[in-house]
Amino acid sequence: MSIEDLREQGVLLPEEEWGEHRLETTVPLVPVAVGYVTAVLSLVAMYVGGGGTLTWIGAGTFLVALYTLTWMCDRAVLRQRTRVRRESGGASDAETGPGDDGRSSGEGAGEP
Amino acid sequence: MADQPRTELSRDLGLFTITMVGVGAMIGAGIFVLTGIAAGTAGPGLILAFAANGVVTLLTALAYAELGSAIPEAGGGYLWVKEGLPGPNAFLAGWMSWFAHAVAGSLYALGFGSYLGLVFREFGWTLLGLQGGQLGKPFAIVIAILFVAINFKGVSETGLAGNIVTVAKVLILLLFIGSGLWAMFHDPVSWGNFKPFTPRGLGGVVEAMGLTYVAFEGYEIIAQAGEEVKNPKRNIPRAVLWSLAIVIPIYLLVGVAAVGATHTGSGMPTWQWLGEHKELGLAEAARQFMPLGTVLLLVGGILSTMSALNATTFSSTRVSFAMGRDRNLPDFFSKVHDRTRTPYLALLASGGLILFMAVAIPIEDVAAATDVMFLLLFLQVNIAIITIRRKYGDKLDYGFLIPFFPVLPILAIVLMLGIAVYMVRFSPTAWLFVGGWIATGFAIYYGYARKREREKRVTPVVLREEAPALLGEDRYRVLVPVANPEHAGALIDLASLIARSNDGEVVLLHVIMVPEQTPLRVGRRYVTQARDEVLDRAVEMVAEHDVPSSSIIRIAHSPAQAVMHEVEDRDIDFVVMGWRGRSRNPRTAIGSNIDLVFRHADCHVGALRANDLDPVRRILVPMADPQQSHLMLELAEMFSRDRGSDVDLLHILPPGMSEQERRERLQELYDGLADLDVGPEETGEARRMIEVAESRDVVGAIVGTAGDYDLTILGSAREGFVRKLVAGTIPEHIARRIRGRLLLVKHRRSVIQSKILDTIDFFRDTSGTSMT
Repeated sequence: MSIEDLREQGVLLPEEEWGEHRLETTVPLVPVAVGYVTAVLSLVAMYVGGGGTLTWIGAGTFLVALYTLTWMCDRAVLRQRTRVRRESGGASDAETGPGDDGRSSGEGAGEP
Repeated sequence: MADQPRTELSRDLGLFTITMVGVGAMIGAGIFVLTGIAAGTAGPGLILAFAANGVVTLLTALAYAELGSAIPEAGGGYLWVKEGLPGPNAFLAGWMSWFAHAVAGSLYALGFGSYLGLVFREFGWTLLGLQGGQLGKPFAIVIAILFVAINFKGVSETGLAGNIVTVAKVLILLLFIGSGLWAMFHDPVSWGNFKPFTPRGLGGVVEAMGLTYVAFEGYEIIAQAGEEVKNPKRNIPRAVLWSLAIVIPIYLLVGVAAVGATHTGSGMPTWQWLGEHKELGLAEAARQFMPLGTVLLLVGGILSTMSALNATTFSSTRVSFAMGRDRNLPDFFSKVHDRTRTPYLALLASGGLILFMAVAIPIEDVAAATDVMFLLLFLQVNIAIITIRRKYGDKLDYGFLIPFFPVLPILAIVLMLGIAVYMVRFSPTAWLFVGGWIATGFAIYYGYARKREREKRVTPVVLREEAPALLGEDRYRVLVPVANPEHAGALIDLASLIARSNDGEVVLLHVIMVPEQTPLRVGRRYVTQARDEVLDRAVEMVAEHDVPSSSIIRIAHSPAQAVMHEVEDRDIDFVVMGWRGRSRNPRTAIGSNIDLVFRHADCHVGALRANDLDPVRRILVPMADPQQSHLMLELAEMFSRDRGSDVDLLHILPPGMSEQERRERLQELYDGLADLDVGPEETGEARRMIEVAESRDVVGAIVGTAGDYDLTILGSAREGFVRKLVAGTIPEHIARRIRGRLLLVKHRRSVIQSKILDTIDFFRDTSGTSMT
């Protein structure tokens, strides 16, 4: 597969937009790092707890960390779409990709 | 590809539906069949194994979220590996995917057999004199054959039936969890079942992680369904993440209920009791605390294993079918039945694989083999995401970008590799099959698939004319790309000299260039013109040297690509290319086409900068190390024999060496020359003619001396990769500064060297592209 194939499949941005988009993630790095570390520490707590109270605290903390991470990444997806639209000069989703559902370009912009 | 109409699928799946598709794929037979076995391995630490698998899976899920949103094509992981990794990786990704899905099918067939056997045991039925417990494998064989037949008829699981099965099994598991927790809270002693938590240590937990990994891989299907998802940039990454957020807690709670709410009635720990019931552990546990527990779990297990077997039979067949269509496997894999329109031979092969694995090895080993294969597959995807991001940069429209890139993909690679390797401890048999399958894959790729890949290349041969006497002969071949015969006199002269010295032939290649955006077929209209105006004249010029020749015309977007394909297809020994002078492109050393051929062609290569080769009375061969000068000396000797040229070898020493050091260095050079396999005549001549000069400026000294010679032959140096990357090579600097005739040569690389350099080049190229 070449860049031509990708262009033909419609997955490449228009050439005039190359160099216009940032590759930094929209995921908030510090909270996500804290979330990951918490998830890993909760695994350690489960192990160290040896089936006692600490194990269950670890399991609970793990689930909280998992949902927090998922939620932060989910918000990042919405922010990423907004950023791409802004960097593309405000084109709507309907103009930037097939099968989009016409969500307004401002949606998600104010989300954390 | 550019010439074929593109078929697009309808985008019908919203966020909720596609999330449920992922949940349905994950909460399948894996959790029903593997919970008991994993509990026996990890103990109550099974819940830790599920949670830790969640963390590991989340890392790869992020890669799927990014790539699935950027390249939302039906191929999913296979497509990304094909795009992101060099050499046989794409073939291996397909080959491993075929095995992984087929062996998963074996696992589900065995699970189904065990569950149906339990039904027979519950009712006290026998079949052909066999009791429930003995019927597991026979039932597995029958169900596998049945689903091969169903897939042959072309009846796949319908959307509605699939949704009903998904909802049914989720409800059964929720009931299992609810009943289990209810029982535990009414019997505080139950919490004691979790002590000791990891009776087999952390090793047992890691084994359980590997064993149950297959139960976490279902989100792959979300990316595979990418072409059918509404607003894929947004919905694919979100569905991948949310499906895991739903599934991981369910698994965790299933583990808690199974271990906590079960009572063995003896001194045996619960986890051990579950382990002894293996794939039926969950069903046996449900009997104790869940209303209609065994019946419901059996129904859930049978439904799950059947739908999973159907899905894996379908997907393994489609993978082998696609590999046949891509010419990676024999054509019969892509044959479609006239009546049912199904790839029946691919189906038979996949069915055979499913049956073989189900019959040949125990269920634990089948499960381990499936898991190891999926771990290795996902590992490739994590490498691919790094190379794709570097290769395409911001040319792709990402719906999600991984945080801490590339740390998280690298972490995923390390963790998955660690788990996969650790599985050797649990099942050496599984690794034996996996290793054997991968080794077979390599053998098939290098012995068969690679050759067929070349045949479908995008530089088609549109004309090949050979002298009848040369047809089929295996002889020394010197390739000369010819654009304009009027400017190719020196090239043809040199190629003829090399061919005659080796009793070989000259292969004249003309490349009809077509712009990237234009289909290659457009080039066909120029074939006759190219033959009449270019090749016929070039053939006459070779004939004047009394050397046989053949001529080829290829159509290509890049001349270097055409040259390299010809080198591979015809086992070319030497390529002679023309070089007009210094490259204007700062990213190329000599010129973009010559650079590529120098770097990738597996043969000797020479780039000649000269309008003619008449006369060549004196030849200079600057030499750093005799071992690297073999080809230069051979060429110089050809001139010496054919044209009576004088050959001078030049070695530059740093100033300030003592006489003793000079003598020792010279002796090393003589010894090195004596070791060369270029015949006593040449080494004797060289010994007499070697000259030593002193200078700090090696490049300047050689350039200064070269002015007195008719031709300078330079070797492409084997300098360190870092130095090459940062500063270029000394010969490249010399080549740029020498004014007279110059022949820059590169010796054929060894196979291993070639593979290592190609891989390094691949990653260097991807990083280079991202900088542009």
